[in-house]
Amino acid sequence: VIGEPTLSCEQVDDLAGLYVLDALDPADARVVARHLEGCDSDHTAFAEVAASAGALALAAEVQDAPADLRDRVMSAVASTPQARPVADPSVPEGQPAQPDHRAGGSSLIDRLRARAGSPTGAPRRAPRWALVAVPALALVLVAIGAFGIWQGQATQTDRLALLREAVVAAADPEATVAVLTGSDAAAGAAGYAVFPADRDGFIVVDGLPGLTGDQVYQAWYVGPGEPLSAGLVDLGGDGLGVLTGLRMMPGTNVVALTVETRPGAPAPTTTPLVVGEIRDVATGQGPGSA
Amino acid sequence: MSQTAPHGRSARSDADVSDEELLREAAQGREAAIATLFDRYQGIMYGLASRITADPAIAQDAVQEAFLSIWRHASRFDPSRASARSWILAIAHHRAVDAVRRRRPTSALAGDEDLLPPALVRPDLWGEVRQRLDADVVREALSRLAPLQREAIELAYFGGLTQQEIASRTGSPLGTVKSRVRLGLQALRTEIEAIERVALPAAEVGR
Repeated sequence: VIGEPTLSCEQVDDLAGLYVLDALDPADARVVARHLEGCDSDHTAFAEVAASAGALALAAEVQDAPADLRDRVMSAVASTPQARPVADPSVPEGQPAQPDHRAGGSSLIDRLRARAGSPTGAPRRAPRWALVAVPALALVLVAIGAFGIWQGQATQTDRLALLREAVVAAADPEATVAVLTGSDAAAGAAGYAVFPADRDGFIVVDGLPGLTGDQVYQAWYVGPGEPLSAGLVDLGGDGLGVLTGLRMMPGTNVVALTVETRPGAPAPTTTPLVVGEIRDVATGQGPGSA
Repeated sequence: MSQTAPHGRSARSDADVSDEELLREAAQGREAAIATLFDRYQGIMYGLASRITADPAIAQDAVQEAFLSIWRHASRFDPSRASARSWILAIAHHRAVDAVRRRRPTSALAGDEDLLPPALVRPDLWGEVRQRLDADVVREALSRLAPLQREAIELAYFGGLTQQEIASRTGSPLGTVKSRVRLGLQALRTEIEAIERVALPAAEVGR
């Protein structure tokens, strides 16, 4: 997004083979996906190699999945809202109207658990993130409006502004946003990491459990390499945490919060309690869209 | 009640409905379309995920994640850019590779034997998938590629390695890996087309 390298059509075509084989590192794949999304050229190089890549799947031995997988898939489908269609604003009956921010599902949490050195549990059902997060923040806004809880406090006014901006950004399919969802001790927490195009990003999370002593919530950029600290969350007594000054780090696709000891840790030492995958604005064709 | 129900897709057999049409229906929120796609693709998707992940539980999760992606993003499928089959299998591959890379926290390479493609056994199940292209055709086409191109493609596609990892494993520059993969995929297409015209003898098996 900010300062992201751009490539010529020729350079992008040159990467077509690696792209369709999922052999580019995630940051490069994102650049290619964004280019294809916004480019009017035909890029027939991709159509050519995509067909070959699809054919390669046939060279693997066909193997029937266990019989219960079909039921698992269909029940997951039944409880998973669809991404909002880009071109067609009409929402079919029975489909949730919210944009769907759920991206990585259980695998995301498992991946972060693995990085924090915790044992990975059994596969978990993915929470319906969008359905949880949007109402939670809307309630906060209503409470602020109705009772003026934070009136007169400069920092809380800033928080209110960030909250409003986050809610607006979350509804914008073009905005770069991660919907944050809590689990375990922070099961009720919900919020957003927002990366505006013109300035530093920020995190707002509501419903964070209180901490004791010198414990603190630390935010992390998570990408293909080791997690990088994004700073400490400023937690209010009301459970609303705010962190400003986020950067869009290359390759980062996940934002996570862990509980650490002041003044923060160089690497996560506990299981992430709040996790969100940065919504990919370049969800177009190709493997990058999955 | 007329026999020609306006939305009488239930009157049609699943076999009549193209993958593209099923994706359109899925995009409209019809869950049954995913069930039909599952029946068509589960065998190839699970086989592919099993080969890439070499772990049945992880392979199952990858297949499930793939179908959820297909369901969630069906409205983004653009038939002018790719066939439904290419799109679906690309998502399946992406999920399986993602799962296998998660188990590889650094870019440390797995043991050598992990990356050699397992022996290819002739599948006689492909007919169930009702696709024109036969697995033996693809394997034969692969075997006709220049060995270095084939190696690069197989390390990437079945090994889940990145360009960097392929480069260090094969001791080749990054740019060489890039062109081997691209040229190899173009050659693969050409070979498949050539073989399909020739029609392989039925007894011909893999490598």
